[in-house]
Amino acid sequence: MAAVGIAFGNTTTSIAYVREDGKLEVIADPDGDRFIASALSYLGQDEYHGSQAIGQLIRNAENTIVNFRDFIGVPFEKIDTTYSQHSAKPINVDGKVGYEINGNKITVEEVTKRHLKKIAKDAEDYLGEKIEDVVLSVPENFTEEQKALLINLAKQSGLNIRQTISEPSAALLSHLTSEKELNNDKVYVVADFGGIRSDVSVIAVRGGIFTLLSSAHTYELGGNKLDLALMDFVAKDFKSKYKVDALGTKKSWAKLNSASIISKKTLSNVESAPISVDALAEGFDYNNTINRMRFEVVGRQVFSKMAAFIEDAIKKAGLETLDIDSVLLAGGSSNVPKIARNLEFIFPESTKIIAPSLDSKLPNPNELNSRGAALQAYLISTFDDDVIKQSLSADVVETKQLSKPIGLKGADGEFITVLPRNTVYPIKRVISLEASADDVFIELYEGERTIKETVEEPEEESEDEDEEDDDSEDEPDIIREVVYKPSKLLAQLALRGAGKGAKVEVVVNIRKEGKIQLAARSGKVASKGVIEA
Amino acid sequence: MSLPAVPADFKEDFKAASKFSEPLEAKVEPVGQYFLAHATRILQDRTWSEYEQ
Ligand SMILES: Nc1ncnc2c1ncn2[C@@H]1O[C@H](COP(=O)(O)OP(=O)(O)OP(=O)(O)O)[C@@H](O)[C@H]1O
Ligand SMILES: [Mg+2]
Repeated sequence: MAAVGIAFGNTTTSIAYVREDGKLEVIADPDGDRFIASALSYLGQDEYHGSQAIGQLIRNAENTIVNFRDFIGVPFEKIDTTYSQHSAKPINVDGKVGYEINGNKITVEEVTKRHLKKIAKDAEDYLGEKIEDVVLSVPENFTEEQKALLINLAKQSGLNIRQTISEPSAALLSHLTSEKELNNDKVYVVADFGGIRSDVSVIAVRGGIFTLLSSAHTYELGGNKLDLALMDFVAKDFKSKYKVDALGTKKSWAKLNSASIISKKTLSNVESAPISVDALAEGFDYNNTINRMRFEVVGRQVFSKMAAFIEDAIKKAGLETLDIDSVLLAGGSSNVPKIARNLEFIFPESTKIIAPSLDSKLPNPNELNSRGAALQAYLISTFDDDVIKQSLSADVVETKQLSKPIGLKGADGEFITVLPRNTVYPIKRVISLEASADDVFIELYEGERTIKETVEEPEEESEDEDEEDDDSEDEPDIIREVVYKPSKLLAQLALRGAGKGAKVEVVVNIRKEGKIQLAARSGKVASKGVIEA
Repeated sequence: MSLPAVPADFKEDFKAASKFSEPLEAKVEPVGQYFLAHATRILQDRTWSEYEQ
């Protein structure tokens, strides 16, 4: 039985599994799509799914259902129909969201079931076995009711959801597992730029355990906004050429939308892309080529809002960009190279931006959620349902964490972090240091965050391509960095006779009640003490 | 990174100075092997304490 993970988005759904050889694979549907459009369309008796349903948006928009995932479990009066303007219109079905298709009313719950069934069936055909156990990734801000309803709908579609996990955690788990970095204590931003929504989470990873520090959600940003910007650009060009509105009819709108999406995606891989629509409006064809730089200008506002959105989420966590070790870009729109490049600009050099346009070995950011869900499914495959349920209970997930980092004072007076802020305890950690004298002093401190500023005179930079930093040419750069300093002394321990140059192992063990056991050892000598809680 | 020498006036072997600051209370995300190890530990503790009663 394969361990399967499903990421069900408003725009696409993807399904991944852990193969027998331990490798992760994202499954393609019969059309070869690994990101299957979350769309259903009806024409007479026929049901279309995925990209075939999307194809129906041009001629049969009113019977084509898209962007419905976020309507699950939301009363009709509360929904925002912005992204249902060019497809089947949501209607009120007994207070729930529904659609009218060929004169029949169908609820969003039914739509979800049909979609999940189709996804599951295709994946089963591909795998040659039945899918039973699944981990599903869901938006970080889905309510408990929405999650419960989705689990139930999946069950009715033949899928047993063993656990739901939040999308940013899924993406981060996938990345850290493949990079073997789960064990490195770092603060991450997971920025998921999807189709109609975008989400940012700040997550502290401590000893492989994730704590969400803040999150932000918006429907104002996403690939859809880039499509609209591109469409607007074409419409202006079209108007100047033919004096005709390219967005005047539903059909021309849909045609141009579809062409823009294709061009936009192509531009993530190559420098220029054709954008062509036969009989766009009033019989006029549109044939043009757009290059990446033009696209970046066209989408400028969207791109800068994306960067600002990330900055806001960081502020919400009480942090600065300086505190962020890495930014993981997730979601389909994160394929756009400009997004990663803008982030390199707003973050200090010490922050790593993780995006395929900067490192071609990385997987498509669109796969991260399903891959993470599949990994989790694999990890819990040997656990009983009862154990999984208990592992989600309050006394397991609600933890006590350090509010200040704990570390040692080094030979130069510097703070050496042993356990960063947000470390869950009980915990034991061992670090290895060198003795600068025969008898060494181990001082345990809490650390305090300070900002160190260094002035760096500008050097002759190699003229790359960049546009932005022209005006800052001759001013010295002030490099800011976060430096922790020893602040509150917790304990002092002497280890005598270690021998200058010897390796000293220091053990910090924080017990459940908050008692700290501090120990040091080098060769045959050892020393220890306890700080009572 | 290295450790400094013991100051001349520090005669004893160990001295506790203070407790660490008030902890944060925060929910962790139930994903990954380290979370599962954490959960298993707590659930085992729970089983043991039930067993002892
Ligand atoms: N290679 C690419 N280059 C640029 N944009 C892309 C690329 N691939 C996909 N996209 C865009 O990504 C968006 C879909 O992203 P994704 O599949 O992550 O969304 P989703 O999670 O299903 O939807 P949402 O986040 O809105 O619920 C679409 O706007 C699509 O055009
Ligand atoms: Mg998404």
